[in-house]
Amino acid sequence: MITVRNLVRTFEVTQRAPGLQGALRSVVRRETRSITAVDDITFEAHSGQVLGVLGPNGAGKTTALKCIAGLLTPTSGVVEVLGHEPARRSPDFLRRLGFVMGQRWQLHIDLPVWESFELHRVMYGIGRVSFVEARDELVDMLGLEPYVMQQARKLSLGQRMRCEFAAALLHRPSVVLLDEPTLGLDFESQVQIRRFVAEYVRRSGACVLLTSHYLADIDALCEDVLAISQGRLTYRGSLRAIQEMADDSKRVRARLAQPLQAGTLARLGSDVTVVDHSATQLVLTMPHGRAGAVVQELERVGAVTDITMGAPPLEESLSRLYRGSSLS
Amino acid sequence: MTPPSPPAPLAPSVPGPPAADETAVRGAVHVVRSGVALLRAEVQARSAYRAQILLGSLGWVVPLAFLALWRDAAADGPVGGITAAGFTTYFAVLLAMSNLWLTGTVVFATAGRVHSGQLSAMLLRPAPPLLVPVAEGLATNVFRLPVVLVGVPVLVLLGGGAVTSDPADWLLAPAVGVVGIVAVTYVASLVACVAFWMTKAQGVMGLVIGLEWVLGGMVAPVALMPGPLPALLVHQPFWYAGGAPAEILAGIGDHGPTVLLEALAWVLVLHLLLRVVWRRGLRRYEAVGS
Repeated sequence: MITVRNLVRTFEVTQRAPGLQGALRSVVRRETRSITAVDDITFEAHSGQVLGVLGPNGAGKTTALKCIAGLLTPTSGVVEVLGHEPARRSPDFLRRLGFVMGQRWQLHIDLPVWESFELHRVMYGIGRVSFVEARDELVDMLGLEPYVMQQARKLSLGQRMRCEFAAALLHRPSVVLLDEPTLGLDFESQVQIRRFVAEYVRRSGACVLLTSHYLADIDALCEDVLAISQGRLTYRGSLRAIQEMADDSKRVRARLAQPLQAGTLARLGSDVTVVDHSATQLVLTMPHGRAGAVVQELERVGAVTDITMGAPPLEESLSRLYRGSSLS
Repeated sequence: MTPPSPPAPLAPSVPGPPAADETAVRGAVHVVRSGVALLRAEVQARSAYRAQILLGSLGWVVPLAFLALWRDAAADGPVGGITAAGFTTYFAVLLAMSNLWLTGTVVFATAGRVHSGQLSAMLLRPAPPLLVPVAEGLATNVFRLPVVLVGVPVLVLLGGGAVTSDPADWLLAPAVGVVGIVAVTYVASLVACVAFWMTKAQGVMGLVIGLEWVLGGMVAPVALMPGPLPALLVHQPFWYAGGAPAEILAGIGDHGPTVLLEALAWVLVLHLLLRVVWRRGLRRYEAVGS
């Protein structure tokens, strides 16, 4: 459904010295530099798949999604979606695409949401019967009933986001791009959106690309993920593998009465990594089988007042992926 | 304590083969249908702001200043063969036409959206993105119609304007005016495309306004321009959108159906040119924001 091969997208950005002087000088003499937002990315996504796209801010996730949506023309490489080249913006392609972006502009800000839906009906060539069916289902499922008659500009962020979501799916797209769809939403709305996406994919066989900084979104919806960092693909595989990586090591947290001496830390062994060491706490990571011995060693130290043990958070494994470290 | 009720079963809209009642999203019929839907939406959106409607309905009144100027100049006799009555009708019609132009909205709205990245939402829809600013401009003009339909005839009557009595002229003038507005809207769209290369195009709008004033015959009928200019200026879009219908209805000069054919030819050329420029511009679009 989606094929991306060796995708590269660069931007020219203007550089200038800070302040008024720099601004005025840049009027006469302008310096630019090239930034590679997406650098040689290759992947595929299939029908019925929710593919998570992970990465820190500015990694190139949204740029990649915009190339897939046809909003940006790739500098080089190939993007093919549903047999179309997105940048050509074929109407038949656009009709089968849904894109929920962070900036929410599908709804007309001055119109009641209901009227924006009607405008979508005409622009997407949706038949009246199919439209009413889809609209009523979406209104019901996303709980939009109380505010669909209100002007979009008067809705709260969460209400508007859900309405944008409905607008993006009214035409029943086969490919759905979700860029931070739960950003700024309360917990209940996040759960609602996740359940909705999962069910939509299950029943429709649509292909969904999802970027989110909320790992709960990724965890709930994606079996496979891509990690992008500084424009480059640093991981492509299952989310389970990342979770297993986290399970392979143990995290020990010790509450301290005073900081430990360097010699004490050295005695713990070279395979033990100090994550944090302050006046009040010590956080260590170690291979799975070593935790018992490390705890025993710490218990002998008088400055340690309490010890807890668990798995390192998934975020830490992801940070490693963002930095390009392998999973093994 | 009542146990929590189980979540309602989900039944999302299912994509699949095209529904039987689905309509095509390409071709002229879809463009017209989308344009009408956008116009309806924009008129509805504007109707939410009553004060804006009132202020906007007063419209564009600059031609009145030039009307006063030229009537005064013709007080002692015709200027270049145009009487005070001829000037009255000419500038009254120009007032009507200039209230129907879309150039400002098209340039400012499109260039602003390219700059802010809001164009992205329009690019995702299976309809020409430039339909949106055109519909916005038309919706604004809808509320200026009272000026055109009531104010202009009143101005002609009270000002003692002279109008043509030839029925063919009454058919030709609105036709040329409408095609001229379409042509000038294409020019405005081309100007807005400058934003793809220069990030902003609002600065170029000053040039367009200058062209409207001079080439459109707002400052003076092009027939009064010096040297070879009158012969040249009657073959360009700004004149079709302003000066031409004004001259035809005021009975200034001798204009036949070739004016309409020329205007149509301009529309065709500008349409083809815009297609090329728009495609090239889109390749440079940066879709800022997320």
